Amino acid sequence: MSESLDDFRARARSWLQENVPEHGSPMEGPESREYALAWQKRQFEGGWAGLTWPQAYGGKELSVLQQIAWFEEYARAKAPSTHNALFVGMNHAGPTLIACGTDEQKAFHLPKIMQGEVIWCQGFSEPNAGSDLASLRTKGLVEGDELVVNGQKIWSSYADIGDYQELLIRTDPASSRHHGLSWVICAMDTPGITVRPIKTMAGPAKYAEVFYDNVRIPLSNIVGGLNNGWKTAMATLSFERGTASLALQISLSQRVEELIAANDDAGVSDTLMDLRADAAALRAMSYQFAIKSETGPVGSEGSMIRLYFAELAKRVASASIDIFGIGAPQVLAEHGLGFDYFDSYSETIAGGTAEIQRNIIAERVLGLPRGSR
Amino acid sequence: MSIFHASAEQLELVESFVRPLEELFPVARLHRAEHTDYDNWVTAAEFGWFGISLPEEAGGIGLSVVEEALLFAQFGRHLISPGFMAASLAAKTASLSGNDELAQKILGGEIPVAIARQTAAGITLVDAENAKLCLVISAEGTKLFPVEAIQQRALLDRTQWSIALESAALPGNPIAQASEEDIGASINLLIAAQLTGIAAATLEMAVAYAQIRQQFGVAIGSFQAIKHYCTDMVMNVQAAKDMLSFSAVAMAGNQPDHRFQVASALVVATRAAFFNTGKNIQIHGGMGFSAECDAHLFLKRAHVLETLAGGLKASRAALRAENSIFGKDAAFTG
Repeated sequence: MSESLDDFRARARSWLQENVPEHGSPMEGPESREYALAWQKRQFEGGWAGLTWPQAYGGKELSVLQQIAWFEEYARAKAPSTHNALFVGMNHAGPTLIACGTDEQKAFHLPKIMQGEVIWCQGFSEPNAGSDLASLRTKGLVEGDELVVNGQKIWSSYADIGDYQELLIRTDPASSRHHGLSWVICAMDTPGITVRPIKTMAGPAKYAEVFYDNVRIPLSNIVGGLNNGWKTAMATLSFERGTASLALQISLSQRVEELIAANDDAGVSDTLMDLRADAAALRAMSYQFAIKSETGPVGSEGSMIRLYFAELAKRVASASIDIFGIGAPQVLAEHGLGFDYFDSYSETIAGGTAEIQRNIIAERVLGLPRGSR
Repeated sequence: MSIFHASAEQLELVESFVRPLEELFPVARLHRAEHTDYDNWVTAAEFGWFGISLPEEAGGIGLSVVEEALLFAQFGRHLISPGFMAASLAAKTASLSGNDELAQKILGGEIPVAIARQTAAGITLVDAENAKLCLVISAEGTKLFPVEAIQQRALLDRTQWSIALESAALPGNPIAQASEEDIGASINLLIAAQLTGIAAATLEMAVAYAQIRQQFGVAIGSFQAIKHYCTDMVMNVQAAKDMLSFSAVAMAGNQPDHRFQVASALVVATRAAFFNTGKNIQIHGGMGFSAECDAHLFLKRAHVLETLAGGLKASRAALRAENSIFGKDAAFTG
């Protein structure tokens, strides 16, 4: 690469300055979909889409240092949160297809994701399969060249505005636990699908329940092989550098700084300084992880960073309510601190509870013996 | 070399430095009241441990504060006397005062140095019984005194905190001094490093014990309550280690925000050390409460180091005085 890191950063900074939308994203519904797609399209046209994706699939395959520079500038420019409706496609379904998809699947889906044409949603959790994902029961029976799907998913992010769903189902009826599952591309306009948005304690509905009543999905939509879905789901992380969440982390540091600037009360200063130091440590950990991941496998360190982020995000949100009080305009505003605070309660639940994450870290990083849950 | 973290070469180099540590400084030595780390003072000087980051022409090893921080993290693991930190800071102080001759003598191991913290009433000396010089740390920086100049010395304790503590009056007329601006980050970095080492050592101790100690017929490490403590401990260690490396690299590169990073490292490491040393005792159960177990030695040393840094409250206040690059109108590095 002939461009220096400084030049790259300057180019990113000036593009973001000119292109970051003036207004934040609507919280839910079709407007949030249009906003997310328009932002993705603009990034694609500017040459700033798929920065972490391999070049072979139209990505930019930036070095880790460039990714860090980009996400620092991204947060600095207050660009739309990367934890939006594009998140599943860009950071989950897309990487899974890259790792395990057929040539046809990749050729059809990857450009659509990158160019801002489609929204993907998740379909993993079930009413009785939360932290214990492997106990999922939604069935897909093979009939001819189709799967016939019956069952229910829950906490499916963006299902009400999604075009495609990454759907993990039990395709071997005799199987249990991690065996006999398949990872399937499900078009959300297929007959037999009912989506019911879930209002959360934070207000807007970015999650939904999804019901499947004899939904017919072509076998060619299976990714990574029939009954091999657990492996497919795990492969998502194969080129994860942890940089996708850097912009979120930096936004968190910015929020801590805003709290410090707004607060002179010595009583909460200790709390704020701990938050400040911990946010600095989170950055140091994430950069270390990203740099290491470029030269070899990094194991389960990423799960520590995720948990650290989740708990720090909750503490920052809670501190902001302590400082401003429940009736302050910045708390009550539409994208305000009140929403952030309530939404932060999902941080230590979504994607595996903090307690289950702790078990996993203790077993995989520290080698402590497995016990009952 | 990485622009954010210690490089593989730096880590490897420090590995070679620390090989003698286990033999010279087994933690068990602290159970013997008559032991003193000053017995190994000249050996430490010969290894170059006091002048890692000072240039060769000043009698140092000519490496950076990155290697120095990594080495002092190992010193923390082995609960090496804070006097060793005093030697490094005293040599820097002498060098900053333009007294290269004194710096050379300290680096050569000719003059053993002890450390003290300035208090409202005077100074608190730590492990000073074998020293000829005393480096006093305060919020204003460092001052170096000959021990003969120190009046009203009184032994406060030798057993409770597992190290000799003395009170004394603050003398006048230091033979060398350095301002907070010039040496504050070095003090904070070396203390953060030792506290990080303590957090790491107690994590390993706790995990090893949780794997072998059996109750109810199984290893206690299979219980979620123990696992969750251990996970908190390992996350503390990861945060403290990476923050230490990140801040040391920022300091070595004289990045504009290096003081912020080092101040953060101290706050993170102090809390990590207190949490981990406490949980290590808890995980060891009754054994952890006994004097013969090493667990209490780590807790006590964490308190001594925190005191030398001026206390956690002061460390937080010092962090408050720095500017983050994520604050308003601030520019990112790079």
